[in-house]
Amino acid sequence: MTTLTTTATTTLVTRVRDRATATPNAVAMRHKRLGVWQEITWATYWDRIQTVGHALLALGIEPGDRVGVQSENRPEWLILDLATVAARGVTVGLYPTNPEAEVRYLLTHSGARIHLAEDQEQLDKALAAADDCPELERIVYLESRGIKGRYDDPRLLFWEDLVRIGAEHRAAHPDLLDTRVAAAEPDDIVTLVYTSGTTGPPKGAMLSVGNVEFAAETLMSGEGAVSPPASESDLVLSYLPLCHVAERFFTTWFSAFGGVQVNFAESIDTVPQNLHEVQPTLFFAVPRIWEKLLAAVRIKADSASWLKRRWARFWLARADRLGATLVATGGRHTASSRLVYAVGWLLFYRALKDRLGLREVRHATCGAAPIAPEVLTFFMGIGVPMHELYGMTENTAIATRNVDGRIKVGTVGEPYDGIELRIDEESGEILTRHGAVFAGYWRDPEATARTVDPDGWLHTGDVGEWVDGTHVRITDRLKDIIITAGGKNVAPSEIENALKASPYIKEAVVVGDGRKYLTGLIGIELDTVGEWAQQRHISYTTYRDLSERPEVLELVDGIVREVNERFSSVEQLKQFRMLPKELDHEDGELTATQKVKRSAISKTFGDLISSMYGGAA
Amino acid sequence: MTTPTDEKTTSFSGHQLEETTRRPRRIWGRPGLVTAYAQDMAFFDTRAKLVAVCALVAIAALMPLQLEDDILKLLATGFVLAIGAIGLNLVTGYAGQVSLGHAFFVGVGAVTAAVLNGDPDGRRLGYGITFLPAWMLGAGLVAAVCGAIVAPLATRLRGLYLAIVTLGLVFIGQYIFAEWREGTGGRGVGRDAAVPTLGDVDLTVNGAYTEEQKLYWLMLVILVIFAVLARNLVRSKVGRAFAAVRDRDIAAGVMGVQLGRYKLLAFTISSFYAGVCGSLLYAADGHFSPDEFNLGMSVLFIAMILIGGAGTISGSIMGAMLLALLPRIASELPGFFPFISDRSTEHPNIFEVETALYGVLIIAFLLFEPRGLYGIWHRIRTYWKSFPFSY
Amino acid sequence: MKRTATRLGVALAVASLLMTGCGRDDDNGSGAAPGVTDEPCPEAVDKEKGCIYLGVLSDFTGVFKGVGVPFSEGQKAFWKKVNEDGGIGDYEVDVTKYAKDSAYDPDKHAQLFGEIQDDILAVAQSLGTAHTNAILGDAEKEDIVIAPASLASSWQLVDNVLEVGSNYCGDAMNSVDYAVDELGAKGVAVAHFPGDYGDDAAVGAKVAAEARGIDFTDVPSEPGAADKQASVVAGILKADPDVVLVATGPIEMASIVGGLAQKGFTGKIIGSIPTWNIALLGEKKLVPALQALYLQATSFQTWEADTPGYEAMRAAAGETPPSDWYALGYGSGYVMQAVIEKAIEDDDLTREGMLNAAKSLDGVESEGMLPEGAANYAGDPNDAVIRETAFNAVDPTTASGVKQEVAPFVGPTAKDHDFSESACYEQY
Repeated sequence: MTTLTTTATTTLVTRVRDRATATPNAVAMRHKRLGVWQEITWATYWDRIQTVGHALLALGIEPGDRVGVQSENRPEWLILDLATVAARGVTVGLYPTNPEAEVRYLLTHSGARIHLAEDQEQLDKALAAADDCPELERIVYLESRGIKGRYDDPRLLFWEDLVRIGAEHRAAHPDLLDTRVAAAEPDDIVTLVYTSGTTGPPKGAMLSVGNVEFAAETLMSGEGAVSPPASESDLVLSYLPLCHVAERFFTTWFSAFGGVQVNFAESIDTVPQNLHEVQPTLFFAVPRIWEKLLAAVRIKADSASWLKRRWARFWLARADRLGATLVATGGRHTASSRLVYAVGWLLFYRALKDRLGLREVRHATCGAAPIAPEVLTFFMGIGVPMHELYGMTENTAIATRNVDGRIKVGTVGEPYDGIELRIDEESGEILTRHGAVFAGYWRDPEATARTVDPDGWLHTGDVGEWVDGTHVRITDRLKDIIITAGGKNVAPSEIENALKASPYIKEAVVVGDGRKYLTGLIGIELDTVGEWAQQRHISYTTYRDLSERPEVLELVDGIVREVNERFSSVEQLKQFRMLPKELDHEDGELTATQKVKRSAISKTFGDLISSMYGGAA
Repeated sequence: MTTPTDEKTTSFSGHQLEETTRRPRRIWGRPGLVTAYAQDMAFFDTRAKLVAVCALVAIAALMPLQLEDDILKLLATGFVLAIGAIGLNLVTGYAGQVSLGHAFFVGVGAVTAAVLNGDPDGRRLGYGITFLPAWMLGAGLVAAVCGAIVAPLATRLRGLYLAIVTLGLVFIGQYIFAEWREGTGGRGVGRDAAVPTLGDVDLTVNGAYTEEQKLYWLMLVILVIFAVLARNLVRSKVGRAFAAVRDRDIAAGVMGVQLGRYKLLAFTISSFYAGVCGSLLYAADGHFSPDEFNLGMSVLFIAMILIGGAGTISGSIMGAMLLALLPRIASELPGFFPFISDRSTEHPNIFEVETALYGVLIIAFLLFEPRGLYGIWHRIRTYWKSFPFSY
Repeated sequence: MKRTATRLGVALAVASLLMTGCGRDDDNGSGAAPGVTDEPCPEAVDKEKGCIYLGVLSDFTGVFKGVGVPFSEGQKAFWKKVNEDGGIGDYEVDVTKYAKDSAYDPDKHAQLFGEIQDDILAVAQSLGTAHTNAILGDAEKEDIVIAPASLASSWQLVDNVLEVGSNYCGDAMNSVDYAVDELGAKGVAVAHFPGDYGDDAAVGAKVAAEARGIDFTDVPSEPGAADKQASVVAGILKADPDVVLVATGPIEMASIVGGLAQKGFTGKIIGSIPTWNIALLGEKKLVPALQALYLQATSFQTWEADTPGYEAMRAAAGETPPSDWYALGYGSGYVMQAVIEKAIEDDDLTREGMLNAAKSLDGVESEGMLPEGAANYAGDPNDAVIRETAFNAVDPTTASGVKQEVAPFVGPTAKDHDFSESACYEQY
């Protein structure tokens, strides 16, 4: 063990070090290998961070140097991330789904000197891009399958070899890393978080030691993001991409600041299974995941045997009522609703939540994109304490959150204590100003100047409004607001989310900017509609074939009509078309975070759109 | 700059991260969060299982205070048959070697125990060993040796051929048993079975507890011991090798399972169980004749594992208990179906119904529930495990 | 772990409370001994009297159903008469409630004995020699007295078995002596079932044959009709004896007689009580052969015997087809009745009392139902053994189909044979 050296600045690294000293044998993380959840203690975690940190020093990483990571969530991601911070480098996360072109852009733009590619797939992308990246010196890989003995690029370095280099360096210069850690400054950049870039190329938001410290302090305070604050007894499941600020918070930073036990999902496909095994106490998910969970409940309940189906329907109906009560009371049970829930918990909800993997969840969070209130209400009804929150990369995810007992569904909650948040009277744009506002875009001072005004206010780009003077409701992205030919302002995401609340609809894109009326492109959820079709003996071959079945069109038409009834006539969809394919990141229709790139959509499906306007456009 | 790591130390999944400085433990309320291989393979991998099995054994142990002697005797016989059924399940259900010769090994056990335990001054051969474990295990060992001698056949033959060869074993056995009158008493006569005694207490004589109560407890204890041993065996390397041989012996061989060795082991252990079963099977009646160890008995054991569930220990026990209680179940039928007589001179009578039931059960299970009683239990468990959904 | 243990402990405690609370019925009725109750018998004549239950382990469906059914009927008739005449002391006797069918299977026999052994005072009928041996050990441990429906040469060696009449071994000796002395036989063959009954006769014949210096051939048989006996017939013909002893069932005996007659056999074929059944007279083709060749060795009288006992029995039998076994079943009742009376007289109506009573019995007044000197259990076994044998020939005109041909006699072999050493069949 290293001796405890006091440093002026507390960083993520010093927090991990202190925790490893205090509770060396507590579990820091678990990852599943060969069917067994292997535990990693804080002592091991810290030991590895030091060794890898030494390796980075040995490879010549200087303060401010960038280290790239393109990998699924796994312990090495965190180890390399913190080792980089220890060496005062900057971690640059890449989505595992980033295609080669984006990898090339990100590696070139960030100027990473060392890059970690998880396996052969990621390595191939990195190697293809490497020749365009003069600053890239070493590419480290984690999985040797298909690589060892086949690749002879001199820049390649196997993780084990990296660890060995680190160990040798550590033996030779035991104090070098400690010195580097002690020299950390609050203004050190710890990470570049590339925004998803729904418009234009991704921009790298620089988050500093100070940003992270402020954000973590705020989140971990009494009425922070989670109350009571996250602690050693909490478990989280790490499954969303770690390069996104939200997952980085819930995994790396919750772990470093709160000591929560991180459990890595095997892959995105096994999340339901892993959730069931881990039964996390804190659970963060993007709306898409919540929608899928909801759809799964509905489908599975409907396809259960007769008795179970009746039973489930009965209790899900009770859950709807419970959810409505909770929405009305801000999340507090009344005496009667508590009684109904207690009985229901015993007979149904406990088992249901166990199957979903949400049995032990004490605080569920939804964020990163707008969600339909029905989804939130459902989960509140079955006893999952749902909280929508709001934040973005540029303010290190610090803006607003819902607090237990004062939950307002449909809003993103109240601003945190100790931060400034206002809504611009003219544009309706939400502005924040606090210690976690980012240090600027990497190598893009122009964009930085457009985002942060000279007074230090961060322009979020989101349009919002106050509800009851305390809660914030987000209307839409400023750029996405549709102004119809009649001059009406319409927020498409509200309509889209209402549509997506149906288990049968996966994607909905509302168009109508500068047109006479609104129309929509709708993509079905293959699983649920497929099941629906099977029950009705409708045969189909491909996604497109299924989408274009008259019965399916009828189904979607019914959903659209139902949703239309809830909106004023100007906000109603007059026409819709089915998307002939599933939108995909690789094809450039979605961002890495599964957000729709509207420009790409209108280009790809231009003929579909114009057909809805009688070819007038 | 760096030397590449030795290929042997790098597995496909990367590398070893964790160090075993800390013993993995269970996390409360999360049975799925298995943190060690030992947990995954544990005898009771969930607490609920442990509690349920303990409760079941406790209830079974208290039964003699509640039930009448005649039922206790049937249950005790069922326990002993269950030991034999477990043995057959090891070789047939787990290792996939169909054996119709189980009755032979049961017979070897019964005769050996009777010879070891028999009165040295008595009419038949006897060595007067009264210590129960000695003659019980002795019977098992002799049967195991016979199994080991037969086993090489299994390494050469498969499936139907093996079944026919083991069938031959039954007939050879019948001949030997019939002719060796010194040991077996001969056909139509038989000899006294080994008498279970503990210390000075003869378990077959009524005392503070009746004969049936004492034998019930004895058999229960022995069954629990042998069931636990079998369960441990099948969740070990040996058990996995058995399953590999069963599923595809060539593939198992390619994977490095020594076929000959494991088939030998399967037959030997199975025969050991059969021998122990035979040594105790006639304790309650006190007498057996070599006519008992015929094809019918082999078929009875096959039926037990088919009805109970091939390849499961608990299924073997369930199947044995059901078939042991079948006569009793049949004799209760006239109460429900008045047209069934309990006299052998009228038709249809319970004895015919019993024989028919036996056949119907086998056919029905093979058709509708090939995994046997265990399969039914599995379904019930799955129903609740998957609650509130169906999958 | 501690929590589980506590929980388990509580569960166990609760369970045991529940179980002992409504525990099983552990008493052995209201009487003093097992099988003796103050409650009246199920078919009591006098409801005021208590009941003594006797067990019956017989063969109603197997090879010897021709023995078991009439034997049991005879017993029932005897005890019915006893009960109607006022029972024994304060009790009546029941032989139907615990009557079981072992189908001539020793294992089944032992199993059934286990079922009834806690509910009976004694066993009034245990059919079969090996079968009785199968339960003898258990019965001795519990002092249960057994009346066997078997005439094996071992019973006089055992205290708790109430044998009546001569044994198969002695009958066989006398048969051989008779064959040598009266028929001038030079060779004898024995066709017999495997097991104690057949072996007993075989050993008796062998001992006598050796003593008399004639050829002896052992031909094992097994239950089954003509097809199973073909090899037996062939075996006998090959040995070419002058006399054949048969120790099988009636069907087997008939098949052997038929087979031998067909091949021109002219000697005598001597069976015993178990080999005869009046139903054989229905086989018209066989009757001449039986009449010509068959003799039945027995120490009992025939159905028409002119004694008070037989008269009473015939009256009790009514329409029941005549059968030696009916007579034997009826007659054996006298012995059991005497034992029970003695036990009551000794004021010890328990199993132990029964055994003591049996041991002290030196004879019984059977009104001519039993051979002279029967039921002498007090004396030396060798002296008490009945060595007399008579021969009956087939005579369709009589009620039971047989008529005494040769008056009771004791041959030289049987006379000198020491029956107190061991059973004949053990020497097989």
